Amino acid sequence: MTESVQSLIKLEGITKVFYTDEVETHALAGVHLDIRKGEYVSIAGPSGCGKSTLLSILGLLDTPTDGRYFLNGRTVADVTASERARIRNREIGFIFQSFNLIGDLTVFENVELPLTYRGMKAAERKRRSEEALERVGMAHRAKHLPSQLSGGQQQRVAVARAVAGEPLILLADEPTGNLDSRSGEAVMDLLRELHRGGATICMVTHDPRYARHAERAIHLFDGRVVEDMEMAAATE
Amino acid sequence: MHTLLQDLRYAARLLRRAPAFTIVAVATLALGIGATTGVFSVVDGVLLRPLPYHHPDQLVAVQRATPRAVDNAMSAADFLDFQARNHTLAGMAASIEGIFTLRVRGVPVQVARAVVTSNFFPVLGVTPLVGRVFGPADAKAGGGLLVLSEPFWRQQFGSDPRVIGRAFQIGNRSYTVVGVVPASFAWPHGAQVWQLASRAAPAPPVALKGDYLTNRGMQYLQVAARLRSGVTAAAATADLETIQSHLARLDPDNESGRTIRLTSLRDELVGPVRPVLLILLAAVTMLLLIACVNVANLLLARATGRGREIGIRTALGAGRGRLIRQLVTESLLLSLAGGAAGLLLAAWITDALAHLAPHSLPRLADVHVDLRVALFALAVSAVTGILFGIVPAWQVSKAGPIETLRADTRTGTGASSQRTANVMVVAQVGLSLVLLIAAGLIGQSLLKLIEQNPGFRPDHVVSAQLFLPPPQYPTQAAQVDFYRRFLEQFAARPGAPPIAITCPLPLDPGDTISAAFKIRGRAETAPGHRPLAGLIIISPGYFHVMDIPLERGRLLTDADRDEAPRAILINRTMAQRYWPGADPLGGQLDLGMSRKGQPTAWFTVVGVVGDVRTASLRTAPGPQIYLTYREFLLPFMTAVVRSPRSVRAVTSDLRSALAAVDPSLPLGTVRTMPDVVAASVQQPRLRALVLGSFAVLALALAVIGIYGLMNYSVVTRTREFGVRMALGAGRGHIVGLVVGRGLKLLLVGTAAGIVGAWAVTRALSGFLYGVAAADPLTYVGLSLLLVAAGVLASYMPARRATRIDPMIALRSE
Repeated sequence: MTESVQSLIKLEGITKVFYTDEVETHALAGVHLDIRKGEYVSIAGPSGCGKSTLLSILGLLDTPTDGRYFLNGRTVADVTASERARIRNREIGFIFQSFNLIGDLTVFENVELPLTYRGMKAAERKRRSEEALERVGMAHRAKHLPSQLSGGQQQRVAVARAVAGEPLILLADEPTGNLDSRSGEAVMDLLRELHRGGATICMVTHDPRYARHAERAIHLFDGRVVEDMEMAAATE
Repeated sequence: MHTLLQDLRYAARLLRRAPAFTIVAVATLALGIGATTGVFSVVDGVLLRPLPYHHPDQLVAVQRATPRAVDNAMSAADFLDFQARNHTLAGMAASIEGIFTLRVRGVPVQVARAVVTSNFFPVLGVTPLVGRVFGPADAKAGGGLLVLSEPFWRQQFGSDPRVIGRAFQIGNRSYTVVGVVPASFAWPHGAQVWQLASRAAPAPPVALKGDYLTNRGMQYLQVAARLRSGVTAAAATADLETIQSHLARLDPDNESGRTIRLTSLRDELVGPVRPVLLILLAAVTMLLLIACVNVANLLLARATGRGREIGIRTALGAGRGRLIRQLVTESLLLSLAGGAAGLLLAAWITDALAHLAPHSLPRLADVHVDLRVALFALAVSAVTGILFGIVPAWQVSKAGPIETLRADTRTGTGASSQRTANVMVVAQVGLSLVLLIAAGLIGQSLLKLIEQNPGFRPDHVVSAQLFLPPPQYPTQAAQVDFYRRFLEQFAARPGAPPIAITCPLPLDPGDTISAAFKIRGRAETAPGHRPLAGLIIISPGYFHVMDIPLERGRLLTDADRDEAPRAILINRTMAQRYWPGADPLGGQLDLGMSRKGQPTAWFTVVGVVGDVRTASLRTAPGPQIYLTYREFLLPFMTAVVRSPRSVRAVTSDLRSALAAVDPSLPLGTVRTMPDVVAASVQQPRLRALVLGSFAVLALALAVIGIYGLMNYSVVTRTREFGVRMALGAGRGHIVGLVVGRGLKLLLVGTAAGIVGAWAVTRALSGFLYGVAAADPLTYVGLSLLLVAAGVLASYMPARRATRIDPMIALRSE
């Protein structure tokens, strides 16, 4: 119990099975994982190894078929849909590979959106959104639409949206996957900076250059954790 | 509140960015909401608004029923007895409708008037617009006062308030205008001027022997009453029944067999039109539902394409309720825009309906688009916004974030969304077919009515009303002399066409006259149980002008004068009913019109003529008796002329003949008989027109719905079609796939529609003529039409599917 209080995320024997017609696909097969507050973890592995499924379960976007999931000391495997939505909104920040900004909302409105769902007062939302945009260097583009931004800029906005709500953990799914190397590096620098500021980050990537930015690397293969190693020099 | 504004802002932005979708959805909703609001404005004005009188719930029409019928008329003597002896009424007023001639700026104008008792306006509780109304204090004035209706005041006097106090000469008496009442007051229906009765009750239209105030033989007064506060209609009925029993003992010939019936004044006024208005309201509600389903399907297709956005919102913590709120806000915004456009459309529809409505439709003055109707439109918009928004919102929000965030931008609820869309299209097809079949049945009834032989030949016949003011023509001799001279004057012109006079004019909704009769030599029936026949007063040339065939015997001639044996004609129905298999010629009838002190005056049947539909084209002719105007005179008759010349020329000739006999008399309304026939089917025509329009709109919406669904299906299945074509599927196969799916939905919807129509059209049976509510031809024909239109709508997207390039389709994924 003490362990789970210290851990921000604790997975015990998580499995995920997809059923299509009469075929069973085991995406995750008994994953045990422990992520502590302030850690910067990368998850890597070949295509189809279960990285994205694991991240989806961590982000409460999906539910495991079996196993236990503790987030910040309490089990979340079986909470209701509305409670899951509340947790996603307050405790988790997402950064997607394809940015997933809403095209009809301005940069500011995109960043403000999760705070709106939280029922936060307008003045507070404004302050936090502006701060988040300042942090990622996109305040000057607040009134632009996503389509008016480059990919790198869009991802910086997505990062601002993820951090504006001050979540317990940032989940990033291939955050550089759709970016050129220069923009990718910029985003990674941003994540590193956030980590230095105390953020807990869990990032899925198959690019070893970016995996090195993390202080801990987890490798998945065939739905199992096959390697979990500390990378002391990563934060240097 | 702030987040609601955010939702609204976002919704507005989305709608602006998709102008084609927005225009189609708003136009569809505007049609539905506009038509519903337009019909509601008529229903509200006619049926729902309280009568504009003081405590209208206390007002009743006093009627008496006999075993044969409900008679809403009462003799003056009866009226005075009921008025004096009752204990439950706060007041009882009488009126009689008629026409008189008023000279306005030197021009004689025929005016629809009501002669009323002095307490008429206080009993009904009417507030004048200008001046005052009659009151009990005027009872001793002996008449001579007029109150004008607002439309008449506006039309004839340009709303000049100085008309109050002006005197008008009518016949040999002067009448002073004391006030104007608002247009919303219309009792009796159609009255333009109210004239104060000169005595305690208005005089009858024809002179009676002795004092009319003590005569119980002629029932001619319309009676309205106000219940005392706290008295129920049942208590008042019981009270009046006691008086009726007393009257029956006093005068069994005239009073026995009558029972009292009190009807609320509003029901009396609008009761006959209630069913048709409610049917129109039901039909337009169905149209609104179809429009809602259409927009719901559009929204569903659109929301399905917004899967990624929904997924992002879900991932960011939006709960299902929050998502539904966002999506419903969008649909509400659409419906409010549709409602605003619909309100404009409703104003136009209301005007059109009021213009098309038959003049017999009561309370037309109360029909308009105002704040109340606008609030209705707002409420309908809000309800429809939720109605068509909630299903797609529920459906789309069901998808989990994982499915929706996949690279494909469609939501992961594809199959479920398709099912919902299918159900909605089936519902739309079903509802459309119900409307189509209802309109088809009503339309066929109209055609059968129009094809119905009225019993006379209306073409080239012009009719013109004549009215002899009793003060100028007080005696029967004077009236007979006028009509004789008028007919002679017209006929004396070189090449004059045939002319006659009649009352009533066939198919004219004016007064009908009926008489109880006894056949000589047959057993006497109890008082109040004698058979009835319609009386038609004519001049001898009538049958020639109207081309009504003589079937037996001879026609009436000018030789059938007062002094001659009293001759009558009967129609075929009367001959067959009362002389089955026998010769009616020579048969004698007592019509209750004794004269010159004789106890009974017998009329002899000298001929049998063809049946004529007098009341309406749909009412089969009953027994009819034709008398010459010398036997039964009325101060109002209608001249009929058969001439190939223009209406204007015939009217000019009629005016000249009239002026030559009495230049002070105006020629009344001139109408051609084809117009009279057309007017008699105005209500069925309006029903057919409105229902037909709704049905066409419903068909169009259903076709658009099918097209939209199939089109969307083709877009979402592009890759599948590409694969199929790559594997060798031919064009026919692809067309079959798309059209087959559309046809399946059409057939299911059609089956549901047939069941629905079978249930719904029962309510229409009262309006059908010459066609059964379950007419198989209508059901099958219109089902085939709908299916054919739907297949065509499916074929267009199917053709597009065949043009997919498999390589491009596969590469696009």
